[in-house]
Amino acid sequence: MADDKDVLRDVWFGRIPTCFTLYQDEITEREAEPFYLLLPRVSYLTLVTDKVKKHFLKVMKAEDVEEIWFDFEGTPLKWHYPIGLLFDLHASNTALPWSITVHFKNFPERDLLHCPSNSVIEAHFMSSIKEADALKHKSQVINDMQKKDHKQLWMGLQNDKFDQFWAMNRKLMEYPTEEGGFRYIPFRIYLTMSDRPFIQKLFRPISPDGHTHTLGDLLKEVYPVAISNDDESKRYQVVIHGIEPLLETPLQWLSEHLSHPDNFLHISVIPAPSD
Amino acid sequence: LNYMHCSWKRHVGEQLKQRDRVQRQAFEEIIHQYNRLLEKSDLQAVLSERYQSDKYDFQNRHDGSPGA
Repeated sequence: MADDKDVLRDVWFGRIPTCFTLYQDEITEREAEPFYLLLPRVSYLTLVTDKVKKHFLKVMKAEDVEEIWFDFEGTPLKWHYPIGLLFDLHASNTALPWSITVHFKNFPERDLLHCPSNSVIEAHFMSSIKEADALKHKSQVINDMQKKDHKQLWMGLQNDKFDQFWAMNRKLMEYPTEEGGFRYIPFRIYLTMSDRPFIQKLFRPISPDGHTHTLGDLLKEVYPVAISNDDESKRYQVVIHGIEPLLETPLQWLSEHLSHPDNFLHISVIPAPSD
Repeated sequence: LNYMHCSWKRHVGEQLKQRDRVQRQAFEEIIHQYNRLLEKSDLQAVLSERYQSDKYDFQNRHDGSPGA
């Protein structure tokens, strides 16, 4: 259906306007201008910030430079989370552009993984896809693919090639018609006010009596606090790719259309803004 | 499932368009222009540095020549 393809394209080409500034305590030889960039929501920070790094390295002495890392209002940003998720989780209700601070020193070992090269991002990305396919098809689809097919998924993401990526990814989104959906839905629910990084459980797209499970059903089962009763004002927003889908949206359709390229539905539950 | 008859699907489509208007389209052009300006100012910095050093070379050559 043409309309569904539009959703896939809009998800893939989502961008976040971002302003990078150098941390005030970094020692520079001259002042560094801020750097502005439209960040792709579906990619990873360390994969798309080569230009940012280059821009700030121009004002730094080589001996003052260690591994680059980023924070937003004091929260170190995990490169292994998709960019769109980081923004939705930490910054959705702040003013645009998204204001990110760039660091070259004091790497926060306890909060962040090191990212020495793009092959580390690739390994992380492929392991997510494999985990998702284990849930959806008991790993059958990803295991039937060849090495070059795996490479095509990664190169599609790295080079922002929608058609190249989806030519392969559509196989990961197929399911037997008689089953009405995947075996389990690959999802992660992130909460801002929690020590747990995220919630992940086994959840099927269809109930045992044949009903289609919705986003609301998932939340009721996994994190009921996120859903407000009719008589109270909304306490939380449930955000995927920067939007709030209706709770009656079928989960199987969401999984097929609003997953990230890593094949997971990354769902942020954030406090609703109080006006 | 017909697109127009699924309010949840129409909602997703409209919300994505609205998101792109606010987050992408509103900033695309100005960020592009800013980056062009940044490139120009980087070029200017390089050129004026070179100009300064050429000037010093020139002065040094003249100051250092006896009998000039």
